[in-house]
Amino acid sequence: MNVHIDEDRLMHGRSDVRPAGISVQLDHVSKSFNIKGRTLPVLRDISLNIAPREFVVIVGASGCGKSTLLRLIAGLDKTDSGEVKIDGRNIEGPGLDRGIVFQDHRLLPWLTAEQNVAAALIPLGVSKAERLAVARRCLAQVGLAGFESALPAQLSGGMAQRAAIGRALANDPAVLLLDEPLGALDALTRLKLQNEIADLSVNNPKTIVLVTHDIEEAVFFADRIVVMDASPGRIRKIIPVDLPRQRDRTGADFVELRRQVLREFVDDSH
Amino acid sequence: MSHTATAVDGEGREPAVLRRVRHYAVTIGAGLLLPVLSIALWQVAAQLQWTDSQILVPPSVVAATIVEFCQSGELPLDIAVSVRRVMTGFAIGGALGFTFGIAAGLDRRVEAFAGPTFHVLRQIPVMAWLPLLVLLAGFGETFKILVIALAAFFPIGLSTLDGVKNVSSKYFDVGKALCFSHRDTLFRIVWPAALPDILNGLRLSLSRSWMLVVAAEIVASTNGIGHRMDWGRQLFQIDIVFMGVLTTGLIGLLFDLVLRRVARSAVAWKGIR
Amino acid sequence: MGARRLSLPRGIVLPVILLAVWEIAAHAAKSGGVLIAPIEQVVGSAVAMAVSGTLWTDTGFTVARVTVGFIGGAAGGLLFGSLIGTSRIADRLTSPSFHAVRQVPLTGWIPLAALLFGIGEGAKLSLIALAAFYPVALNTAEGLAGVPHGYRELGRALNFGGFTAWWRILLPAAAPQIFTGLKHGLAFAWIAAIAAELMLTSGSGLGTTIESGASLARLDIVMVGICLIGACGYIMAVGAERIEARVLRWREEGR
Repeated sequence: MNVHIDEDRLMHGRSDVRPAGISVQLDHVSKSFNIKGRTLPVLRDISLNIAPREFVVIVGASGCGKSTLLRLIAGLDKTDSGEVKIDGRNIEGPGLDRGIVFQDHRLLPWLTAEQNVAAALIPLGVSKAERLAVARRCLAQVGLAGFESALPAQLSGGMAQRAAIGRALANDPAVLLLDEPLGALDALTRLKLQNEIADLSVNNPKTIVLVTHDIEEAVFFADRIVVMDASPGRIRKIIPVDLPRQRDRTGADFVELRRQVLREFVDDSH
Repeated sequence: MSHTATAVDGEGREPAVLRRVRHYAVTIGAGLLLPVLSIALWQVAAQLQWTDSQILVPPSVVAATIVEFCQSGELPLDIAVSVRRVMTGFAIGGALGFTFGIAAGLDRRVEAFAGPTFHVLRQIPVMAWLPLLVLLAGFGETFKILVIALAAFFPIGLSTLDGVKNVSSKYFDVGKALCFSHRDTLFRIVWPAALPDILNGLRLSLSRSWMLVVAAEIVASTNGIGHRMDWGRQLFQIDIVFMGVLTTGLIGLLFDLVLRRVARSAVAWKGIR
Repeated sequence: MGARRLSLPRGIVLPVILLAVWEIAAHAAKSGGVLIAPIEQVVGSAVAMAVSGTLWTDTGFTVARVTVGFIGGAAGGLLFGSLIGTSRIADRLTSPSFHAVRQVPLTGWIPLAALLFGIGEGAKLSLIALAAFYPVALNTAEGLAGVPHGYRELGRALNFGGFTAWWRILLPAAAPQIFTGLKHGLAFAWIAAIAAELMLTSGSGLGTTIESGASLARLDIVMVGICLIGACGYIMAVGAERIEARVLRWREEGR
């Protein structure tokens, strides 16, 4: 298991000591699922190189396998063929070098917000008090200061998702994976959290892979946009984006890019 | 919350506290109406000899009998004996059922091997095993503990099995993504998630155990509440039988209330909406 | 309380082992006070009982009692449950007594029933009916009371009259819970029937057979009875689930 934790940073919050960043590599990855005896090919021959600290957004319609792709990178599922490499090494399941945010926050309902975030630190073997201290700091970072003792049922959708992001960041993974993290939220909360995630990616640089079906969101976040086809999932096109991380949604460049991406989808709607 | 609202149009409004007291009084009063009327009717009927006095003993006599048996210490002893049996059998059967539920819930192979047998045996009312167990284990304590353990085993086993199997794969995903060890997954995810179902099973098991201890004591015992009731039946002393009925009802209620309390605090997170 | 699909191949291993242990114990423990009847004797008795007809009469009587008792108790439960589920006044008046009486375990009523009604059919049927009554009443009440407010509003918005609303909205909405109550009621009726037959030994029935078999130290008869009870219980449970699945076809969730 690759462990890229900076103990100092965890315990004292020093921001000048950072890991150098980690690459993510997909080498001819294929995956199919067995549903009621029939084999459904979900991903076919996906190859992708993600540079350290790059923000890559995978965009595509539902069913194109983008969530599966993320799960393969996270190590929650295994590929049928092809390799997933983190920092040049093949992965064998989940690791502390990767944090994942699910679309349905998946906070454990019997734990408070801080306990949920602290749970990410359990495999590190630190004491409970230290776990909670770090958790409280993480919650503050995602704007949930004061809600440490709230149960997930008491949090709004946006707040719960923030806590989930806090949990993914708690052990300071080098790779952050987000599976349609804002899909379950209302439009206004979504905008707000998008800005916050963009800020986060600047203040706390990581290799980030985000999956979404929202084109606007893709253009807002990405250093590169990976457009995926469905059935079976394949990479159709990769569109580089040359805009700063915190970008203006109404700017001319932004709008042009949006048009470019939109054309990928609207064009073959027949 | 308990502020006094001052009148706006001159009409006095009662303070909130008084309203709440009145509400409780009405609720309790309404609830007591039926039982009080029934008992009163019963008393009148018995005293006016509407039916055979041996069959319908007035409540006053029942009350007197209860007092008499309490004072002589026989009733408390009966209760203690029965409750002790239940606790022992419940602990044994519950532990076994719980172990089965966890093992079969987590491991498909265990479920494949032991599951069918479990589900088939579950269909047989524990009551049906009584004669067989009397033959095999005799009339002693072993027999009764065995019966109660059997009664407790199945509901706990089933609800633990269901509880564990129903732990959403989403939570297992979280455990995997956070790199939890097997032990962490078991204690921090499976246990809290399955706890509501397990506690339900505990309640069911306890009430079954209580039901069966009475049965076992009627069939083959020289002490305990069930035996006391059967003894009263044989002597045609319906007041003693009633005493037993009341006692078993009360103890059953206490068991249920205690477990409900435990459940509410252990699974407090579920109640919050 | 329901029936499950059983995985046959590996599930057979454990029963075979248990039967083997039984067989060995039966042939070994010739002395030692208890005669465990070997499997061939059990089967033989089963065949003998089937041929002589007692198997069928016993099963028939028990099933008949369960059916009659269940129908009576369930009907009462449905009525009473509907009453306290829809009328708050009725609920206030009767609930506490209802719940208090419910605390007395089934077996606690048996000596009383025996004293009041003797050991005949009346006592047994009342016990079975009582056993079925509670779960049905409780679940019916909860089901009706738990119909979401939105559905009731819908009835008003569609200008449904009282009966129409009850028949087309309340009852179907509460149906899943009512069926749960009916299934539990059937299971309890079954238990009550066995208990009643065991302890109020008169007439024929599976419980009575077990009891008399035990008193004669005939383990084989006892085993036949137990197997039959298990089989009947299982068939009834499966039947109930089939009926429920049929009636509640519109429900997507499995449980």
